[in-house]
Amino acid sequence: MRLCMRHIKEGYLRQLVQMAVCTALIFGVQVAFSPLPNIELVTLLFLLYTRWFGKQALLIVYAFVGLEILLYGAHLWAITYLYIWLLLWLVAFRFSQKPRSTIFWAIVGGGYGLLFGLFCMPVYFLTGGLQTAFAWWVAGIPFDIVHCCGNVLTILVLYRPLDNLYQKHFA
Amino acid sequence: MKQTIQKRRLWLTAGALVLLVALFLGVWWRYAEKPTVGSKSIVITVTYEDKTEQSYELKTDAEYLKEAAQAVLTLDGEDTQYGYTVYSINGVEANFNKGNAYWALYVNGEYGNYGVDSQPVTDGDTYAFVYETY
Repeated sequence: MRLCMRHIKEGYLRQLVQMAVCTALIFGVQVAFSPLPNIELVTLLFLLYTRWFGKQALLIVYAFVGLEILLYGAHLWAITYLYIWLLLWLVAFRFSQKPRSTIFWAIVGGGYGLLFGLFCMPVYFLTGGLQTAFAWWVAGIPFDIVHCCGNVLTILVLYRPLDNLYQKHFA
Repeated sequence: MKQTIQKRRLWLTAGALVLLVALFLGVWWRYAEKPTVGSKSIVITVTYEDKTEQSYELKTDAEYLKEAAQAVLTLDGEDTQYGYTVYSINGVEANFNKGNAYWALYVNGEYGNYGVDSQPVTDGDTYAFVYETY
């Protein structure tokens, strides 16, 4: 019984440490990639984290959001961050029950990048009205397209190797 | 057979994504603000940290705000991933990399959707640089 409890505790601690490292990694990677226009690894990492940690990945999502707000300050985008990464987690969680191809995840990531501005629109609609929200979204379309292409490429290149690395050494 | 259907579905979804990109490009092409050629009368205002305001009325041929603003203001900044970022106006610094202040841009009283170098200049518009903190 005591041994069993120890194993549970070890497993729990192990996952906690892994999740803390993953949070640090995603935050560090976001800051490192911030000079590049909408090229990011956050989408890729959240897809992987959801696959690896399931529901617990939500803790990483909101730890990441908290760190972002601490670093960059609380603006309108901070409100969008409260739900926008949750949307990605919901999609990833829904589809990660079965094994999927890398192309599938690239399409999910690409679609998410393309629709990112559209997903943010409700906050701008509530604060400035439809015209402001629409103008804001249209102005950002080129960035959303770059976001889409960046996500497709990063997922196609890195999803499988990173997943294999985790499954082999850390799972 | 099942695999073939799944593959086909995957490629159809990829095709739909490409179509969506094309659709978005079309929307952007149709509705994005575009610069106008020729002379325009505009107003540029600057609101400093202590709320003092300077106002400049000018005629300009510039297509984008940066060029028009440089005719009456001393701008300092750098090119970033989102275009030219203003760090100081007339020697007054609001650099979010060094503190919690920044120069916000308003167009006709509404928060600007473009950077200073991609904001099209339109006849009769008012552009306001406001010292803001977060």
